[in-house]
Parts: sequence; C-alpha cells; structure tokens
Amino acid sequence: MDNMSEANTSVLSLPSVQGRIRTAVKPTEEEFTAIYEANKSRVYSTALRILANPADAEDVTQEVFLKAWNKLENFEGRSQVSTWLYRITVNRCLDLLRKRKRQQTVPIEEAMGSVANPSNLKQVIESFIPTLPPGYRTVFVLHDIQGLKHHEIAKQIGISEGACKSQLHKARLMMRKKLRPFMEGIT
Amino acid sequence: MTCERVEEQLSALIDLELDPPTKNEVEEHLRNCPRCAEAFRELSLLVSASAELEPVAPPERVFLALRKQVKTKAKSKVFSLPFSLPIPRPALWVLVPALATALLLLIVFPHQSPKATLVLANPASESASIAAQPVVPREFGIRDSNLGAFNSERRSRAAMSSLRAAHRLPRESTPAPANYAVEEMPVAQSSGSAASDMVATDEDMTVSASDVVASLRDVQQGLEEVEAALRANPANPQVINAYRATCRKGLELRDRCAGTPK
Repeated sequence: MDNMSEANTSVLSLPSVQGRIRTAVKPTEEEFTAIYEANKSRVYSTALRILANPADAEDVTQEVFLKAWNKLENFEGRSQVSTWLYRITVNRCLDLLRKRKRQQTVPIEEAMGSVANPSNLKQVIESFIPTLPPGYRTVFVLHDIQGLKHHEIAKQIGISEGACKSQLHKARLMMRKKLRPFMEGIT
Repeated sequence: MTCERVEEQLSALIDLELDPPTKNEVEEHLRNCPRCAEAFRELSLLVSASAELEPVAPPERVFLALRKQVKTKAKSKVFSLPFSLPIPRPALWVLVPALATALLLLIVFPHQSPKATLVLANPASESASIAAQPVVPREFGIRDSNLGAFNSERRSRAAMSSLRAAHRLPRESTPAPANYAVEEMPVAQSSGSAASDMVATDEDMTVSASDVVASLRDVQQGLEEVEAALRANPANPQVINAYRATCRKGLELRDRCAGTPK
C-alpha cells in the first residue's frame, strides 16, 4: 500500500487526526492506530533509508509514534500531523547519525549481493542507497525520494541551500557510478 | 562549455533550476557530446526511478511493541490524579516523600490517651486544634490513605513533638511500655499551659513499642507495594528513590523503638 492510498483511507475520516486541528485531548487507541497506519510506511522508510539499518529504523519508528502518543494532545496544529511526524523522524535520524562513532555505510559488494532482480532499477537503487555516505544519503533520500525542497532540507539538517544542492549532486553522481552496470539496458 | 562544467550543471538541469541562457548552453553541449548526453540520461533515469520508490512498511512487531508501550503508559496513569495540580512536577518529587514521612510520624504514635490529648489541648497552644482532630488509626495503610483529608504539616508537627520525647527513652525500657514525663515534651513546655494541665501521669504519654513496630510494618509493606508498582511502570526513578528512602527511615525508626538496631 502506498502513501497516498494509506492517507486516503482511515486518517481523513478521523477529525482529530486531520491536519491543522488542535487536538486538545489525548488520542484514543483507535485514533492512534489510524495515525500509525497512515504514517508508518513513510516514517519507517525514511528512517530505514537514512540510517541504512533496519533495527535502528524500527527503533526510530517506535520512538516517533510513542512521542506522537504522548504529545499529540499538545500538538498546536500549525502543520499537518504527518508533516510533524515526518519532521520528528528526520530529526531523530540525524541525531542518531551524529551519535554514531563510525559512519555506517554498506559495502558495495554487499549491496550487489542483495539485488534480487537486476533488471528492476528501483530495487537496485534501494539496495545501493545504504552504500552512500550518511550526509549524501540523507540529502538524496529527502530530496529525490521524499520530494522535499532544498530550502526545507537545508533548514532541517542545518546546512546552506548551496551545500544541500552540492551534496545532492555528488550523491547522484556516486549513485550513477555504482548503478551504471545495471543501467546499460534500460532506456 | 567544457564537459567538466556541464557535468556540474546536470543536476540543476534535471531539477529545472538553471537560468535560460545556461540551460541553452548546456543543452547545446549535450547535443554534441555523447559522453555527457549519456551521463545526463543515466542521472535522469536515476532521479525519476528514485522518485517512484515504494515506501517500505515496518514489520508487524513494531506496532505490537508500540501498542504494548502505549498500554503500559496508559496503565501507569493509575498513579496520576484525574485533574492537573498547579504544582510543578519537581515539587511533587519533594512533596510526595515529605507527605509519606509525615504519615509515618503520625502512624508511629496513633494511640494518644485522652489525658495526653488534654495536656496538648491547651487553648493557648497551637497544638490544641491539632490534637483535637481524630487520631489516625493504627491500621492506616498507604493504599487506604486520603492524603488530602488532613492537615499533614500541622499534625506531623505534633507527632514530631511526641517523637522527640519518645527518643529520650532508654533503649532497655523496650519492648516493655516505656514511661517518660510529659514535662520533657517541648510542645507542652512551650505551650505555657497551666500546671494542672502539665501534670500528666507517666501512662498518659506511654508509647507501646509493639504498636510502633506493628504500625511501621504496615507502613513498610504499603510503601514497598507502592515502590513495586512504580518500578513496574515507567515512573520517575527519583520518586522511587524517595519512597525507598522513606522505607529506610521507617525501618531505622522501628529498630530504634524496638531496641534492636542493625
């Protein structure tokens, strides 16, 4: 199930989950489940792709939704709940990346081995994202996969817009270099 | 425009960020340079495919663990008040053990005799109204308590006076009923009451050590239950520590009163 279809099912039917509404009371378990169902994939995917570690991504997903459970009643409604959750997710991922003593990247050989279907470019890209250095990976995921604008990314990760564009370009060149063997037949 | 310069502009070209003159220049180069054109094609492919990546759903165990945590947190609300107090949370960390200690002191001397009450019930004394209030029963337990039902500060002051007197008891006198003169009580001395009121018999202010021990055992048990409950739920460790300290004080007091120090 993709993001859009998830968001269109349960969440929009719940008034307290809709964006720009101040939720003065704690969400019920039903509402909380709806919030989780609507946002789980976006939160988990972002964390998984930025952190390149499924266990860390699961932890971050739990933390984000637990925070939502604790703080949603104080949510001021200046933005959509999903945007708010997404911002928490990225911030938490960046915190974890900063705390890591060793930068976590997956070796190219390992990524090569994890490609089940080499003709499926999307699957190949997914396998090679963890091979990027964390800084490039973050910008690449946020811009090219999640569709954020440069100024939004720059603000969130605390770099200039120019640095963001530069990092994105380098990340794309790196990915292109790694993916070239898989791209030859694709038009 | 050189190939190197064009390569630098490829991302901007894909993201439609180039100004028209530069865009025309880069596109002109791409028409004449197969190498750069191939780079542009591959980068475009990468960007368009990346934008179409499917979101990955987390494993089911994430939701199960989350639901467990949410339920635990909801259960821990049993210990919170159904309304919000205008007291900052850090102040509660001090207030809760202070109330527990006051409660302990009250339970130490639950059975004041009518005469002793009379001694304390001097109209000029601040303790008069305190002593006039119903005495907390010996069976009083933490779980049954209603902390808001009495003026703990003032009552604990009266209990403290009794306690000070009690500590003057020679240790050998326990567990047999220990006697002491009411004249030694600071409250009575400072009250300025009439001499007739001050003359109380030794039995009036007698404290039964066995009663103290029994009361403290109840308190200890109650506090331990609270501590266990707090530990089972995500409570602030400072509160647990405060309860633990209160338990320790209670045990020390019991040992002192029973004459069996550890």
